[in-house]
Amino acid sequence: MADQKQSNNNINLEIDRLVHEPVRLKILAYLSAVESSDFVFLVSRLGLTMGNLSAHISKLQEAGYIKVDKSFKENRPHTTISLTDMGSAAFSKYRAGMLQLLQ
Amino acid sequence: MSENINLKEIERQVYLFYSEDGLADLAIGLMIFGFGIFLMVDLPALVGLLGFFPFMVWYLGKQSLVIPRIGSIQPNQEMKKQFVGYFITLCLIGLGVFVLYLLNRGSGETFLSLHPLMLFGFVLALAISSLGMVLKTSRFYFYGLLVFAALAAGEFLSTLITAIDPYLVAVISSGGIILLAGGITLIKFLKKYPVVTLEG
Repeated sequence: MADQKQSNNNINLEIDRLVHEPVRLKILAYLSAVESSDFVFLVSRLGLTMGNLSAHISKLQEAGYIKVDKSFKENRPHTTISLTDMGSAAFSKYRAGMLQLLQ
Repeated sequence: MSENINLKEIERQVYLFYSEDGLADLAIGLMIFGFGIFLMVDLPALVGLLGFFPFMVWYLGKQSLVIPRIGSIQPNQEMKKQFVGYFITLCLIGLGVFVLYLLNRGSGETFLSLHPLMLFGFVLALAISSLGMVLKTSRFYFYGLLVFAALAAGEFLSTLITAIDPYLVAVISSGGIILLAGGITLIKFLKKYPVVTLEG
C-alpha cells in the first residue's frame, strides 16, 4: 500500500505542468499532427482569441517546446509554429505518463 | 472551449484542412462534369484542360478563400507518405487497367472490350473513394459510389435508349451533383469561418 502511494507520487511529480494545461496540451497535440502550422490555423481550430493563444504560445516557446518563425507573406505578418524535438519529447512523455497514471 | 482532448479527433481536424472547404469536391466535380460536357459538344481536344483547370480552381480557392480563414499547415512525414502512396497506387492501378483494356481489345467480345466505360467508372470511383480514405472524409465514398452507379446505369440504359447518349448523361449528372455538393460545402465553410484579419 505504501509502495503504491509512493509510486503514484512519483508519477505525479513527472507530469509536466506546462504541458498539462488543457489549451497548451491541445496546441502541442495539433502541432504533433503536422510538420508546422500557422497562427491562424491554431486560432481557427482552438477557438481562442489571438491574445490568449499568443500567451500560451509564448510560454511554450520560452520552454523550448515550440519554434516560432515570423515572416511576411504578401505584405502581411505570417507566423509559423512547429514542435521542437524537446517539445515532441515532452508531449510523448506526458502522454506516456498519463497512460501510466490511469492504468 | 471544450476541455475534451481526443488525439484521434485532433488528427481528423488536421485532415479536415484538406476537405472541409469543399474545394476538392468542386475540383473533382469540375473534372467529371467538364469531361461530359466537352464530349457532348464534341470538343474532345478540350478534355486536356481538365487536368489543369480544376487544379487551378482548387489552388486559387485555397489561397484566396481558405487560408485567410483557417490558416495553413505543412503536412508531417506520415501525411506526406500517405498522399504520395495514394498517387503512386492510383497511377499503378490506372496503368494496370489501361494495359488490361489494351490486352482485352484484341481478344474478341470480352466484358472489358465491350464496356470500357464501366472500367473507367470503376477506376474513377476507386480513385475518389480512396481519396476519401486518405483525407478521412466520408462524403467522398458517396461520390465514388455515385459515379460508379451513374456509369453502370448509363451502361444499362444504353441498350434501351438511343436518342441520347446515356453515358454522357450519367457523367454530366454525377459530375453536376458533386459540383453542387462542393458548392454547398464551400458556402457553409465561408459562413462558418470569417476572415481572420489580424495576426498575433
